[in-house]
Amino acid sequence: MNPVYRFGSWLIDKYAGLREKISPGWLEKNRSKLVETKLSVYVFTASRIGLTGLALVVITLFLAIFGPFIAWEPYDVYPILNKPELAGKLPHPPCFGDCEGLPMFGTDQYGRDVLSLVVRGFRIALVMSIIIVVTSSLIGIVIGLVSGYFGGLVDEILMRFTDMMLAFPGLILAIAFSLTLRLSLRDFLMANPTATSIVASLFALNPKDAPNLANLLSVFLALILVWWPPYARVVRGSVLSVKEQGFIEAAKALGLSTWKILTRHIFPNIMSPLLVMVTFDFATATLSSAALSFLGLGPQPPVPDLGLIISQAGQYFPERSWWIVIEAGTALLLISLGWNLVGDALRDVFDPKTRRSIELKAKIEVRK
Amino acid sequence: MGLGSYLLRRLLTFLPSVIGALLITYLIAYVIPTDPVRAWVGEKLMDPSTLDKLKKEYKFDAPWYEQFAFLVEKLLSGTLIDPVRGTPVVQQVAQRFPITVELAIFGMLFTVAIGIPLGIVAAAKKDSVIDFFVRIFALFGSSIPAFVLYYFLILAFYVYVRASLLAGVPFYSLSCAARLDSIRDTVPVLGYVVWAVGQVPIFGAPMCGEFSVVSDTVVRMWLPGLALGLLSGGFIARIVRNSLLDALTSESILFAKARGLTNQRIWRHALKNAFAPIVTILGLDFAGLLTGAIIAETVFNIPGMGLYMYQGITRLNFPIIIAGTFLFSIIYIVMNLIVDLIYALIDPRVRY
Amino acid sequence: MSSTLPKNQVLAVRDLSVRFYTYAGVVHAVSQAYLDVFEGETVALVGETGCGKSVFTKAITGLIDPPGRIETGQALFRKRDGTIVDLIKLSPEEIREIRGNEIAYIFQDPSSSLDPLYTAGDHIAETILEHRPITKDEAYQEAVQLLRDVLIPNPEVRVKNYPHELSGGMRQRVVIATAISNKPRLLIADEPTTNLDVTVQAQILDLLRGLKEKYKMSLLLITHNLGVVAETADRVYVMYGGRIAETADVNTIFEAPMHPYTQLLLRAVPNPLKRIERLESIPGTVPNLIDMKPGCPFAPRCPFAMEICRREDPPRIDLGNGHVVHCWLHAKR
Repeated sequence: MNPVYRFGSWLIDKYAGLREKISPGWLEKNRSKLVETKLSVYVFTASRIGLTGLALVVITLFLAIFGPFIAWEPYDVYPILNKPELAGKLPHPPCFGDCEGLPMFGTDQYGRDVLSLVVRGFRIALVMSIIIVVTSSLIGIVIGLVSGYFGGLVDEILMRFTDMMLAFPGLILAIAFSLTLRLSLRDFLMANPTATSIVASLFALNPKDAPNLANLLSVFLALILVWWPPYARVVRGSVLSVKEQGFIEAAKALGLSTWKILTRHIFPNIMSPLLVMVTFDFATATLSSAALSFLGLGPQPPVPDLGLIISQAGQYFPERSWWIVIEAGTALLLISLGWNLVGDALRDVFDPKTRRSIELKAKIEVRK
Repeated sequence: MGLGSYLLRRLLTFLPSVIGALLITYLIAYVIPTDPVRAWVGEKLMDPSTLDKLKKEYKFDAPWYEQFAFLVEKLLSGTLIDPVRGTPVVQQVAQRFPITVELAIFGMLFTVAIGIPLGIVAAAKKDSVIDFFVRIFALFGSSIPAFVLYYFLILAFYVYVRASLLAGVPFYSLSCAARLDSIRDTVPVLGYVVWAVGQVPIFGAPMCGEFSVVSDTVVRMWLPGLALGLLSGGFIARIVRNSLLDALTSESILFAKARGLTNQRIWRHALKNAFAPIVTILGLDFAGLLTGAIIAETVFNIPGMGLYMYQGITRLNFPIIIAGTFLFSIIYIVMNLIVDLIYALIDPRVRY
Repeated sequence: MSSTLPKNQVLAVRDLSVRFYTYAGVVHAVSQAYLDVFEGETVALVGETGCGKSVFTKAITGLIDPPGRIETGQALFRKRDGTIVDLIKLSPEEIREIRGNEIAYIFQDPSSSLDPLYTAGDHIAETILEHRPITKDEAYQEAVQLLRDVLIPNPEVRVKNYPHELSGGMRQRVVIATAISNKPRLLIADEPTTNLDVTVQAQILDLLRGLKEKYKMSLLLITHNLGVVAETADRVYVMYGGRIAETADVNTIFEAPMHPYTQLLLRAVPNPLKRIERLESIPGTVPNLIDMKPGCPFAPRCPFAMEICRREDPPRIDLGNGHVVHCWLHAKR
């Protein structure tokens, strides 16, 4: 039994103990669900791909939360302004020896330490992807649930609208939305300093930099607008298949309220595909927001956005900025790879075929 | 009944999609910006009289239906003017669009060449090292940012090993262009098709016998094509693998075996069944290539629609963005239509 | 085990064992099973789901894939030209030639047996062309005739239909037509009526009976439906836990079953002419075939189980007239 599973199992037991203390008898009622969850954890931890992904996710999340504190250089100070004699030498490649005090892993064209910038960049990339995915999935889930559950005219209208959105290439629309939203957002932020400071602290950026914050906001609002339709479709599909299985009719016949039906019966059934979708989407959202920043729609310098850093490096590519592309590119790669690996392993966990073969092996170990 | 009626029904949904595209473009152009004039004009300062002329011209102060009508007319007639060049956007689009198509074709070629064989091998040798490799390849392909991969390939194949070009796109001569135009004007229907296909340089040049254009194009386009292929190849390989495995373990294959069909015949059954969903995915991939062209053309410096959009973005040239968004949307809708039709050709169940 | 067959015998399977090597252990799917099929007769293979009937017949025709393996066994088959071959020992190519040609197989669900992208005619013609050197046109003409033989109205039209354009009953007929297209000696039908409506069931059974007469085939019918057995079978084999429990001609099985399992099976089927107080069922569930130990597989559920039943495999007891039972109850000490 591997240590990660043991840890997960211990967590589940602790949680069960807590719930038992709050409402005695809970353990007996939910025993089979707990065993199921333990089995899922076992199947997940049995896959090397899943564990590697989990490790990457933990590392990148750690960097995202603590990055701005760990980073040893401020991002909004341009060394070149203080030391104009460096001009000809920038961007400076990495040097691991004695470099007159220049950073080990190279600088960008302004003389800033690239590695420090990249460490800060994790925060922006991750907060962006999390907000995009969480918000759009919530919107999509609500629309999908309402549409699937109530059916009829509501379903027709909502689905026509969703299909219309789905008929479009997402990136293109996001570009267009981002551009048009940007000006309005800029005005909005200028007029609302509290909103500005909230956004600034989320992304660990300077609250006085309203235009760049507006650009950031425009990128992820645009992506949210484009991201929700697939969720609506998937959730509606799941609701319809649950409906077909007759759970809902039975529940209604028993007199359960709509809310209870939605939360107790429908939602747990759609959890697994949703979970997989969300995990993969964290990766895709990271890359999409980086792509929009690369195209210039996101924040501008000095903000340490990873996509922006790479696009700036493009001017000096390749001999004079390859290290910048490597460092920022690897950061993006690690973030998305982590989520993709976890998503892939999760998909296997919920796929009845692969799950069964591992379950048979595990039978002896988990049924305690 | 059958294919014809399915085609008709599918075309009926085409019209509302186009209207939808126009609506969304309208939203982007007029509704969302709080100050559309500023958006269209850019951040430049303008004297009040010019501003007024623009306001009247683009109907910024008019009621919404007038604005919408104006936009529709401009888009469909292709008379939207690029303020920077002063010429209709359509001119640039007509020139650049075939180049983007060329890029997408190269990308598709590599994707198929990499993805399908890998997928078939992975299915044939399930759970082997190759199978595992395909899985990892797919995961990396969808985790690496496209532009990072592009920069690296350029580093490898242009800087260190001069195996490709990075400037311009080979085009056929003017006399060839004139010949194609005359074909379109003289031969009905088929002539138009020939002309349309010939707009893409790599197809048009051989029609005039200008084969040097073909080789130049290959040298120019193989690297971006390979890049696109590496990004999607793994994903396609996985789809092919799963689709094939599903087909191979199906009951109809068991029955085929029970009937004593040869292995070759059985694989034909399996492949045919597996390929319907694969064709769909490939079609969507092609559409995705067209939109991913924006980044690819920017990095590889290919003067197609994508680069045009990028220039519109950086210079905040609204008409370009509006026209570009509309055009890409229409392409996407048309691609979906074509994919559905091909699927109906393969799978008779869909025609109802 | 001999290597000859009496003139009128088509198939003789002896001592067949199939194991599946899985993550969870070794599954003893079939153990020491045997079977005889004579010319022109209908043999029924009866048992619950999971008792190994399908695996047994698939093993005979070489349709077992890894992780399954045929451990032991001999399956003598008399081909059309009179030669006798051991199906288990044939190369993949040799047995492929026999499949669809001399031995045909039809499965439970006609909807999933047919390839949705191929027409009815395609299926039949393909099977014909694989085994006989005639032209494509001739094959399609035969296809139309075969569809007529299986009583599908308008065969000239139907031959061009895709599976989704046909009803469930018609699909099963197409499957049957495909199977008999090369006039096989033996037709193995795995639950051919289970997925069909009751009225269609009767039609299909009648059809099979008629075809059997017309083409002089033998029919091996796999089913768990005793009503079907009573209607159509000449002899019956009862399987449990991967082993043959009992075999006899159909009358003896119904009137004088000797194996406790057979007796309980028959009691579980209600007789519409008799008044019943309670429906009987056999308590317990399907046996676990993983890493089986010696002993009678039915012992856990058997009302007459003795100590020895749990320890040793039951012996083969010949009760005369082709009636054989594997049970310690009837062993003479």
